Amino acid sequence: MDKQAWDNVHTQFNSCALTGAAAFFAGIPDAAVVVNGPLWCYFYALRYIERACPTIGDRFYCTQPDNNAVIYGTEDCLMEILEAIREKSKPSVLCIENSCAISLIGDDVAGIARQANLPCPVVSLDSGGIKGSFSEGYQAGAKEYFSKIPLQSRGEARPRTVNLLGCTLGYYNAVNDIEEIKRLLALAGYQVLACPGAGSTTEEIAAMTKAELNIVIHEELGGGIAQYLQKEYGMPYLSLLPPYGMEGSMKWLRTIGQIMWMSDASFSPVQREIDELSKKMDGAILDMQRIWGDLWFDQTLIAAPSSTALGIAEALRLEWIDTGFLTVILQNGILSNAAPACIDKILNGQGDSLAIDSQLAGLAGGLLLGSSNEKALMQQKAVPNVLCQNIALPVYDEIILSTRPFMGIRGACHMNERLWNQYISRCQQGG
Amino acid sequence: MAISKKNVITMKRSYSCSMSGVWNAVAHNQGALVIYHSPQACGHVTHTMELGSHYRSLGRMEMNGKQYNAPLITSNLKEEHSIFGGTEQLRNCIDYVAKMYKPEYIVIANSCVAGVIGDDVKSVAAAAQEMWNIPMLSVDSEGFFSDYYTGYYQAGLTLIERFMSKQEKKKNTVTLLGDRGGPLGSDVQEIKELLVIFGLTVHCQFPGYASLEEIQKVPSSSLCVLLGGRAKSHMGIHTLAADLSIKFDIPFFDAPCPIGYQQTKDWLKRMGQFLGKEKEALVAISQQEEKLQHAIDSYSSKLKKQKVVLCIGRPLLYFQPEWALELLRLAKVNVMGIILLKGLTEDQQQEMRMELEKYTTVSIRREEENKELEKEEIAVTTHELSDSIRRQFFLPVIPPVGVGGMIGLLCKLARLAGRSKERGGIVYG
Repeated sequence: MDKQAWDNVHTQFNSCALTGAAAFFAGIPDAAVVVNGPLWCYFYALRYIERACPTIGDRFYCTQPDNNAVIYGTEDCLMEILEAIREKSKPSVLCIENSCAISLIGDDVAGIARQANLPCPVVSLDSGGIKGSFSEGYQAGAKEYFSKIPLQSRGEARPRTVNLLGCTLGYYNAVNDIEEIKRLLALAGYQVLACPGAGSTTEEIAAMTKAELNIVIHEELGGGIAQYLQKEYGMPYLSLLPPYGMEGSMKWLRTIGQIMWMSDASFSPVQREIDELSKKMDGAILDMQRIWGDLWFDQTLIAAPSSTALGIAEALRLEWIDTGFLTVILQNGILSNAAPACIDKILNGQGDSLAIDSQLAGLAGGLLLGSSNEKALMQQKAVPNVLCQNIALPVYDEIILSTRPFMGIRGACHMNERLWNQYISRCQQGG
Repeated sequence: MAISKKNVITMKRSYSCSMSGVWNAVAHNQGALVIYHSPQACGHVTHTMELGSHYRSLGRMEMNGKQYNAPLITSNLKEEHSIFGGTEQLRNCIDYVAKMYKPEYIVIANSCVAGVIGDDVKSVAAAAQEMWNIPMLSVDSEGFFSDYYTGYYQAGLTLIERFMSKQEKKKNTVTLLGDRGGPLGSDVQEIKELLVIFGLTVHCQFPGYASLEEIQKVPSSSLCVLLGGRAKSHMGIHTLAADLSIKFDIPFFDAPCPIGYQQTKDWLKRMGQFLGKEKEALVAISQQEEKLQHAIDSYSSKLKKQKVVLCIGRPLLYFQPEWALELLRLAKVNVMGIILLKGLTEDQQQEMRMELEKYTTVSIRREEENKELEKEEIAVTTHELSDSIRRQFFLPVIPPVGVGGMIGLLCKLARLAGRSKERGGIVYG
């Protein structure tokens, strides 16, 4: 047996497949979700999602099965909720997801839903923690959606149109990042037709087959969906690390451009914006550098879902700061994309708890880009003078109200601003 | 317009998980290690809860930097275990953690999944104990069959059974039973202050926040004091106290944590009678009254005659309105009415109505009656309400203890009363 299967949960952050599947459907504004499971599992998923989607409670239901239901089946409690939905709300699609224990009973959920005679298609799946974590649930939910609800036939693709796959409101600051990606693409002359699981309606998703290309933003969420859509609808796809940093964003756009036969001229507006912002940013940073010295860290630790962690690691080391040693923790434990060469060490967030503990303990004076989870572990260990920036959930110690992304050109400015201001603040505190 | 902000869920059954109760019972006990015989995600859910507590205690400046955090390991049940059983997986998990973490004892909590599969966890634990010579405590905690409190107290009973034996009593020593945010939390501090009046000192807090050595010495305490709330949590803690009393002759002061002034007064009076220290009790009551009066005087200019509506969406089992009504009485506000929110079932509404009528003659209406609140009215509420209700005071799920707790609530309510009606917003009590 793999010894790493029994790690201390304290070093890990993840959520269950039930939350992941619910997050996919929560990202479809005209969809509703029924959790066929206990309130505890329901509330956990609800709280996770409603941080980014505050009104999700209006279309998120729970069957609350009791002991008898676990023995005799959940038909009665499920029917009660389905009848209420039929009477009171009119979703375009309904997802019924079974929690761990309910998935073991073997109820014919699809059959029960047919009896309820709902006026919308129903997608049902087992999605408890026994099925895996957030990313597995998200992918399972998406695959069930695409397999149950046919899209329009592909026909001829509309030129310069793309879809974004693998985006979710269940990632930190995702709303701002998705907006920035759409803005960048628009600046380069593309139109985004759909972003399933992160804002697109069922109608928009149905028409997504008209796009020239599917772009996978987070491979751990969208990779499988892209393959499915290629197989079923012949839609080509491109999976890259998300666009972080000025150069990183330009590289990302150019790679998409190469696939879509875009001329260099189409990048001019983006390049112009980069040039203008770089000039402003370089001047401001140099001013601070003369006073406060270089943004240097002996040790840097990044912890986030795989694609986010790898993408930020590349931008961080190639564009934003200097560091002696760069370690990346893949929160979800899976290496989504090829690892950039600039990373010195990669740790599995779901399996390397002792190594993670020791990395955190040795981070004094260093830089942590992660979540409130890693920060709490450092606080408990009293590791001094670590400069911390949140880039991943869970976050308990920061609010972002302005439209400031982490990705793209504006994201690069924002990240530089955050890093420098924190660094200066630490210097003033004598750190 | 609906008053409820969210689609308030009708709680037909318990909304908590007993595994997290087991975890909390020993989470900060030096030397403990907890295994969830469950999918990995169950551990993540508990950890998220724990992380929230960490930041809350940081925010309240109640963080104990030296606090022990027990490793939490999940046996990682997967789909295949539902067919072939998960006992082998659990056995391997125990072997790994016994070697890797060398804990003083291991507590194993069963998940819904383990319950449905029907794994014989007790046998696995017994065999592993033999093999590793480490105490292994198995606690039944399948989420469907019970709730947080059941897990918490069941773990406590298991610790008593396993680690305690009769000992000579140490005079004037007390064991606190229950959690209430731990030894540095304001609730426990409040109780300790009350105990000092009677010359009592706290030996430890049980079942959480106690080392194995402290747990073993619990039977030497001359008294147990309950830190539970009312209803469900009190029933559990009462069982724990009764078990200690039967097994080790430790008397317990059979009263829930005092919430508000009247309960504190009663608590002190009864404690005085219980200990034969009635005079001390009277002195303590007058001290508490003075403290409270001072606070009322300082907040009354902001609170007096403010219009308030009490909105209740929690069932009686989880919310006893007595303390909330006392808060409003002490604040000297004008209670314009009581609204029972939509999340309550017909039976729950009826039960709550009967309870409320014991304490007040204020008119009680249902949310469905659709009468809007006036702009100047403050909603004192168990649930977050629609943004159209400008000023909302959120009643805590676990009300703070004693007169100190009541003063804290009065202070926050006064701050809300002083807030401009145009700005509005929520103050969490």
